[in-house]
Amino acid sequence: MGRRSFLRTSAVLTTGLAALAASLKPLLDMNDFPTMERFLQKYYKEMTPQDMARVLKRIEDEVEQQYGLRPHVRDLKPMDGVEYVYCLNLTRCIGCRKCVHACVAENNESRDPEIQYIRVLRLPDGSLGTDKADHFYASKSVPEKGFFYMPVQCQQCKNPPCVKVCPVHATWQEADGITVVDYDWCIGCRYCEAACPYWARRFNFTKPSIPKDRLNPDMAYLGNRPRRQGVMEKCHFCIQRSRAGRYPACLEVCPAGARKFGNILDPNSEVSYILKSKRVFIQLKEEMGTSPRFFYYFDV
Amino acid sequence: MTANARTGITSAAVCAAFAALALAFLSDWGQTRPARPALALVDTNFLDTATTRRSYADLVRAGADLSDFDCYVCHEKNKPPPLRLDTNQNIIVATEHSDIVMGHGRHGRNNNCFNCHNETNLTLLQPRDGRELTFADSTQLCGSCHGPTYRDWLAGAHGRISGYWDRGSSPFTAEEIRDLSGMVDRMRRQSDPVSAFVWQKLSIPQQALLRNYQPPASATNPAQGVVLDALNKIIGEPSIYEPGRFKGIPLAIATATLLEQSPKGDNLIYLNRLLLQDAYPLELSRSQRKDCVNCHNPHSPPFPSRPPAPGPHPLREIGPLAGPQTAQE
Repeated sequence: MGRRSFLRTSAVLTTGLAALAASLKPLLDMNDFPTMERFLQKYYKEMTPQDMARVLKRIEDEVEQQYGLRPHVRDLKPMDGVEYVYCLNLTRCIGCRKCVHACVAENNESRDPEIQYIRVLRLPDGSLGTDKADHFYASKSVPEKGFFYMPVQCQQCKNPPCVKVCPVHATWQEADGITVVDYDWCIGCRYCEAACPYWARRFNFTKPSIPKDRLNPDMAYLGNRPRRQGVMEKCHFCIQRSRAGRYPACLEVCPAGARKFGNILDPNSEVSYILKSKRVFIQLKEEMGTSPRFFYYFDV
Repeated sequence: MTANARTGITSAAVCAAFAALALAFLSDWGQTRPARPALALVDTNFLDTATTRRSYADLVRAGADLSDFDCYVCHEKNKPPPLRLDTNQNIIVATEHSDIVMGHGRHGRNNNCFNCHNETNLTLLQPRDGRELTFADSTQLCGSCHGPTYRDWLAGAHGRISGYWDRGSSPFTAEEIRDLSGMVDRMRRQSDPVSAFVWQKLSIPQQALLRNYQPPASATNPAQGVVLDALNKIIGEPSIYEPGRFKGIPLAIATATLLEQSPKGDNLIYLNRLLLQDAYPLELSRSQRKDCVNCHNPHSPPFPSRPPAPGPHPLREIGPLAGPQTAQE
């Protein structure tokens, strides 16, 4: 090859490669590459306790590095003889949305953009159709006359469509009824979000941003440990609390006592009492056949 | 034009095109992403789980100033305060009690102080069945009329609750010990029968450890472990209640009710848990259902956030009222 053709070819190649490199500029924004350890992590159900201990330590290290605070991450197993059920008293809910924000604080959800597992619907009195629901009401004070309020979160269905459609089994239902997500196994295809009739599932479009001073360090592997960009998350009945015997954060903050939670297999629990004695009428979207574990009722 | 020249022009054009593309990519095609306004963080006060009101029992537990509840600073003993009524037979509240707004019951039917307060002993409350209750037991008074709500409350279906849904079997955890040094102090001095009972449950090395305990100490102090061990051993045993042991310790309503049922299994564990919490009200935190007065003002009880129902009867609203509204419930 002559000098001229060499120079021409190399000029074309160089500018071509430069253009290619410039087009890949968005890759520079990626800073969340998986470590080899996370990349080769086993499926949750196949992990031995030693594997899990290593994984928990990895998570604690990562969180400490990112937030400057060492969390306590546990892998809590379901309790025997327990099936969780949530009851919500629609006579009492005033639509204040404290549950929404308590959930965000407890579960280390992204603040910007803000992910909220609970969505409170405002419905006019006398209607049960969610088609009349206002998802974004912003009244100066609540409750407003002529309306009632219905908070919606993951219903932990007995027959969950989200579990059926997950192509990688990153989400499944545990023995105590909670449908969980393994954030390290999720590929972010969002099929589960499409399948859910309640829009319970949230996707992390960007890296979650949690202010360092608002991080909740009491974490669970299948619960409120910080997620990455590109994975799904949803209400898990505050698994780090409920599997330790405690009430979820949304229940404790509710000023009206509208929320009730407990073990339906215990005949003395308040949820058993409610299902036996109250006019429990709604399972939302009953006709979809999802059989939710979330029961709405009215009280005197 | 020669083939050579044509090739030269083509490759120069291609180079220029690539260079232009590179510049375009580097400058984002001339588009700038609009900056999103930062979302404000929620005020942490909004997330407070405290109830809107504090009950008398809460005040006792917190060691607060109870001088407001000492009626006989102003009133004379054994002299029932006279009631004054206006022309509509409504109570005229004395200026000393001007913070009280009477609104208990429709048509003013329950607006008589002595329907609830005991006129001969103002420190007591009197339900209609002749019982005498202290202010700490005010929920029993409410329940004496509001039966269905009271039964719901006992079952946990009415009102606010915090702490543990797992009533019985959850062992005491470190975060439930609010005042470790107070607890250790009572135990090693065996200052009351319950503390003496707990002290006997400890092994000799454990007792020695507690004797040597000096506050303040770090959160992982071994004394904490010893106390937790002792408490958790006790709750697994048969009922720890003995009248002599718990003499002078006011039992919460939940405790007293459960005690009457002679529970077994998980409920027995729960009973022992409640008894210990009653014995150490300041040292152990409770996880329990809130009392009526934690949410409702006993003198004007409607739940503050709900607008009052209109009309003479909530189930028979047939149209706007013709006349002036009666006292709202």
